[in-house]
Amino acid sequence: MNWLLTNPTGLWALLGVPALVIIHYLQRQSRTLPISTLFLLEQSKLESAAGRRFDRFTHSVPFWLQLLAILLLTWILVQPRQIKSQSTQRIAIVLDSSASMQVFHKTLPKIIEEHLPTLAGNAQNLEFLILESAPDRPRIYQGDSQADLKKALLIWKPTSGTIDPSSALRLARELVEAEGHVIYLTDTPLENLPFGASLLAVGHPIENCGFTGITYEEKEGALIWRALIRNYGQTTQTREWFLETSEKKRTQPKTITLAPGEMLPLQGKFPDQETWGILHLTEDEFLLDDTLAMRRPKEKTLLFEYSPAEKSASLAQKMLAAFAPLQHSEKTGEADLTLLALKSNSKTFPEIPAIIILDEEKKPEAFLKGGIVTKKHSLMDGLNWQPLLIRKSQHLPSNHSDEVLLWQGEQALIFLRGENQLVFNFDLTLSNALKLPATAVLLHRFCTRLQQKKIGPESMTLDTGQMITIRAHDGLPLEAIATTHTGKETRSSLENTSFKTPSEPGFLAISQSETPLLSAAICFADTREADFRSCDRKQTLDSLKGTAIQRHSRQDRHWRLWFILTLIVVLLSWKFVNKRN
Amino acid sequence: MTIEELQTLSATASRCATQLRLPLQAKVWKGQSGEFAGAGVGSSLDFQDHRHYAPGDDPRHINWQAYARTGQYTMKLYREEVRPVIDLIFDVSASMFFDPSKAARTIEIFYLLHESALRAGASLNSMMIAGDTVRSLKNEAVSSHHWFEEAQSMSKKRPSAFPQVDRLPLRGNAIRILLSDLLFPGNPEPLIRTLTSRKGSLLLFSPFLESEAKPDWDGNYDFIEVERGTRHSHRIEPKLLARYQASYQNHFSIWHAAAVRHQVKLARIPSAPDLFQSLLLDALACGALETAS
Repeated sequence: MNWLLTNPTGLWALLGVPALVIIHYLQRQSRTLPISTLFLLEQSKLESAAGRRFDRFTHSVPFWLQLLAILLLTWILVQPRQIKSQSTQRIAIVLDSSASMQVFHKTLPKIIEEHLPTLAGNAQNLEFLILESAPDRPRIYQGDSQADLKKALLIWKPTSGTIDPSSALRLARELVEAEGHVIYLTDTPLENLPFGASLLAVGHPIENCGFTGITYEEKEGALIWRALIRNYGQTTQTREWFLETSEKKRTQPKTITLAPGEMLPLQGKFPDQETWGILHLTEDEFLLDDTLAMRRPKEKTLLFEYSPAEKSASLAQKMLAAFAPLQHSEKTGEADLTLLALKSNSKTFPEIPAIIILDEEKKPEAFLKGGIVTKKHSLMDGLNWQPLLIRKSQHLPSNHSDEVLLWQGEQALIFLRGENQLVFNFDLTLSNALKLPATAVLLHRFCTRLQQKKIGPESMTLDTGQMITIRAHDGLPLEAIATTHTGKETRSSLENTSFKTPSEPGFLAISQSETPLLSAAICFADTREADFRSCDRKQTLDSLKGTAIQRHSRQDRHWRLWFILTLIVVLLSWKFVNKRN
Repeated sequence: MTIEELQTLSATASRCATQLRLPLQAKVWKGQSGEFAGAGVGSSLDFQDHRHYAPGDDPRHINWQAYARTGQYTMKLYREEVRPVIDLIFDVSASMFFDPSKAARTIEIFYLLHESALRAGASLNSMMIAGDTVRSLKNEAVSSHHWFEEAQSMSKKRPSAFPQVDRLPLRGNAIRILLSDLLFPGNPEPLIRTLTSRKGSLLLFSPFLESEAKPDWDGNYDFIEVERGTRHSHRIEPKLLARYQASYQNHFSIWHAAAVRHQVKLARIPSAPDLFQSLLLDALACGALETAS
């Protein structure tokens, strides 16, 4: 039968034993006496232990009674509890999935081992459930083997951004029920965890420097990259950086010094003939932001043609100059977008993606009156059409399926026909529309919309774990190739066109039937995860101990008996002492 | 103990000797002429018997009146008067003197016995014994109280407790008086047999302390054995004390039984109260002393 001492400080009462021995020893110190009848005494005392000082206590009834009283009192004070057999403690540990945990995750098996006695309490059996704070991740481990638990922890690699652990803690609480322990294992202390979860923060501040992001800019025909380096630490840091491109070509390393909290921009010309590159920074404990992948950005082109009419040609030239993705189509019929100028008497619209404007030949009449009303639509969001002045004229015929975006009075000025045709139901040249920013923004949004719908190759820089959607042909599988900075390549098949980018920085290529759709550089740019200043060690596991003790043990049922017995023993001792005196 | 104290004790004993004496009348004596009736025919005034004359008889004791009546020589026989012979053996082991009251009582008894023997006109031979050491004691040493120093020197040699009485120069047909507390282990038979040999009779005077018979020990003690001076640690509990008392009584029961067996008078004399009262308790009752009247 196992017993648990819930109040070990009660063992101090055992100091009463040596005190009692000393008191009795002093009280019963030998008296020296001459004797003439020693031979008679020794005859009478054959069984006695003469000469051994310790045995002077062996026949002292008060001594033994007082000793018994001390032991009983100690037993009562330590508050012993009997451990229940077959008790199982369920422990759910929610691991912080944030990338900053990469710095500390190798120490987790040891830390778990250190705190296991506290977590286990007095239960005979343990059952572990290890979850990630990221809600979409599978369970890391579930079982009762500590060895397997440690292996699973070593394999686990946190890569997410900052995540609210509430949902994972709720799930953990539901799984282990009210009697189980829920522990949130993180690197940054948090206050007031929900669902009765306890905190086990294992982090500590580190001196981290890293890239925070990259932008590209076309300047004088050359592509310029601009990256930002930040020192998140408390002390001045010195690092080296260089650029690596294909075939392991590297630039000369350059040394930079960053004051605490300083952000230092780096920029350079993207090497000609190169489509990708990797910026390297001297490695520190947090590796994710010590490299930065670059991919020469390239948008999907939108082939654009326009009718030779004067009004449409003029607008088309402006659009080609203003919107980079637009590219004039040389061949008829392959355009992704057509700018058409139609007469008001046109009965039919061509069924191609188009921007249609009205080509009015009549003299302009008076300005159209009535309130201008904008429909709530993504294309019209935030646009101000109130300055628009339109003269009364003929209109293109509309039907019930058209989605009117802009009204003036009873007149539908701008509408969508289908999803791919934007109709300006007035003559742009006879209004001030071409001078309004709203017109340019609307045209740009429409072009972008068509560009996004187009299935074609593009190159860009994305963040790790970013949710993206690409356009692809239906029914054909998508193949993804993720490559890390170290060259490790992972191939996978995508079931959906919406997916998350890899959690590790590097490169990503998506193709469909060997047709490239996306070439992306994947960068880690979560500055919250790279900042370790608020990391610290803290734990609130002590509160678990008391509840665990209550749960897995029962009170000594005979404690009242021991208490009464103590009183009896004390009274008996008192009686013996008085009798002797 | 100083000379003055010894003188005081001697005076006490002398006063007591006027009231009590040794039971010398009970024994039939032989030897030198003295005050006590001898075993044979003597020249005292006490008529004993008549018998026919035999050649060699002292003609002074012919009963001429009888010859005149009968014509036969008839001899008048008178009782012989002899001096009693006393060997006073004084056990001077340390146990006799370790306690002041016991020492005083021992010395008083010694003076009493010595005085009583001298008053009876006995041929007294005083001896001190401590273990295997025996020394003769002259009357002058007793009267001058210098015997005490000698006794102390003997006890300081820390001999064995058992007195080696076979080393004593005992005289035949003598009363042997042993003054000892009898606190030594072993069978009393050999000692009594030795002291009653050669037609000797034995009187045992044994002073004792009440604290020896019924001690009030309780707790831890470092006992110092008075004979050898060795230390012995003991814890005395009531049960052990009771066993000790039983053992003490048993020890003297054995002595009493042996004394009865050998017709030895054993008187145990307590150290309190005064000497006369103490002697009345046992010595007079058992016949080891008798009243002087």
